[in-house]
Amino acid sequence: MTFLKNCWYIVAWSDEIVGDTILARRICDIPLAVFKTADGPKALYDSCPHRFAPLSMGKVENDSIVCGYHGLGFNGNGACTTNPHGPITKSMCVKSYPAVERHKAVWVWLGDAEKANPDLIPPLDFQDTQYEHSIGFGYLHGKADYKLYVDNIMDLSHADFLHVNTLGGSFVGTKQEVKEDDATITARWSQKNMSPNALHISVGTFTADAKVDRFTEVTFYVPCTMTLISAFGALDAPESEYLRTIGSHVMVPETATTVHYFFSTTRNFRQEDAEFNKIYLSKRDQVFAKEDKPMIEAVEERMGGVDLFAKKPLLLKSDEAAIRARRKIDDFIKREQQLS
Amino acid sequence: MPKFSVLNRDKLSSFVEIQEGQSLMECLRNAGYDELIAICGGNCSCATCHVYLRDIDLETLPKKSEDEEALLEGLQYFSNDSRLSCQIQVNHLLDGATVVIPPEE
Repeated sequence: MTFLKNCWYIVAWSDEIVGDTILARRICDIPLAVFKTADGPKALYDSCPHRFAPLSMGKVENDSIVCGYHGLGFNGNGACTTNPHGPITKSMCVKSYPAVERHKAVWVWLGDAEKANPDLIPPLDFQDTQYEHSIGFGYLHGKADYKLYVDNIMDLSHADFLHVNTLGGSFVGTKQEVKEDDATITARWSQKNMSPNALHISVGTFTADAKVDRFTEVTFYVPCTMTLISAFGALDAPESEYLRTIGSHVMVPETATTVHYFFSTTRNFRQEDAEFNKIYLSKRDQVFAKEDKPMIEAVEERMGGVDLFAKKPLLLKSDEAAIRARRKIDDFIKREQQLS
Repeated sequence: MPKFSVLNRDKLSSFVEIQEGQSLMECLRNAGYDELIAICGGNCSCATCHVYLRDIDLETLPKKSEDEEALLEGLQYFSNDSRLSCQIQVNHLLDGATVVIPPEE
């Protein structure tokens, strides 16, 4: 599988790399060793150029990684800083990748380093919230093509069936409005005068027999970052008064058939309620791990590693946003290959 | 050279030369009409390649299948000259026709 290289991928949530941690994580089939220095996060190719030991099995000393096998050290730019066996020469280096910490995540750029502009990082600024009990980060390792995980968010009609007791009940039959610009696709489902779902009721503002107006909006940033707003309020209330959750769903390819699923949820209500946060996040984690993950992995198994379009799927109007996202990914990869 | 004209959503008209061997949907997408989304890629299952065919005797075209008819009738902008462009093969019968891309559903 060909991956997009000139883009920012989340390699870790910020709190996964603390102190002298060296995180080993493979992205787009490239093994990375990620660590933090006084100058911010650094990402190196996770294999010592000497005898190919994973650098992630070494330790951090003076902002360098010292290989755990024979003691060669490399700084965040990949240059050798210590060689217990003799002199240091310029050829002693390991590939480094641009890395930036932003929105409580560490991002890496696997393509042309000169194009690595942090302004291209998707706007996950809602994750910078100061209310520690109004946010929760999550991570799942998935055994499927990352694009199947992207499809899952771009077509939320699955919620009516897969998440029938929690998030579902209102997508099928609702018009999906899809908008597209150069680098994003936005899908929105709006409903008026609906019964609140189980999650809405759990918030405590509306009872089961109340009616609400609601909308759900997903924005996709090529190739694998999505933001999801789920908002609801009293009938005919302006949207600015809605209770809302905003989260990220980031499907970073590990290999052609495995994915790092990073997700977050923030909200604009009960922001200081630690107990509510705990229950809310544990419900979310349950849904993703026990409902989405097994289904997507079973789909991957049935598809046998063959690309979706090559399988000639029976696609429906409801697949519009997901298919447009896939076409956009393919377009970006094609353009990147033509340039190189 | 035989050709048909296309009226897009912005009401701009242009000509497309007839090259046989593809469906009208593929022909329109290859000509850059991305507003024709054609999600299903020609399987007659999504109705997102809907067009109006004008300036042509519709009786000369192959008849709609039951599936095509069912999908068309579910559309908000269904009209007597509606067809799914993935079900029409491009050939000389389209010479001089006008293909209109309907409003977004």
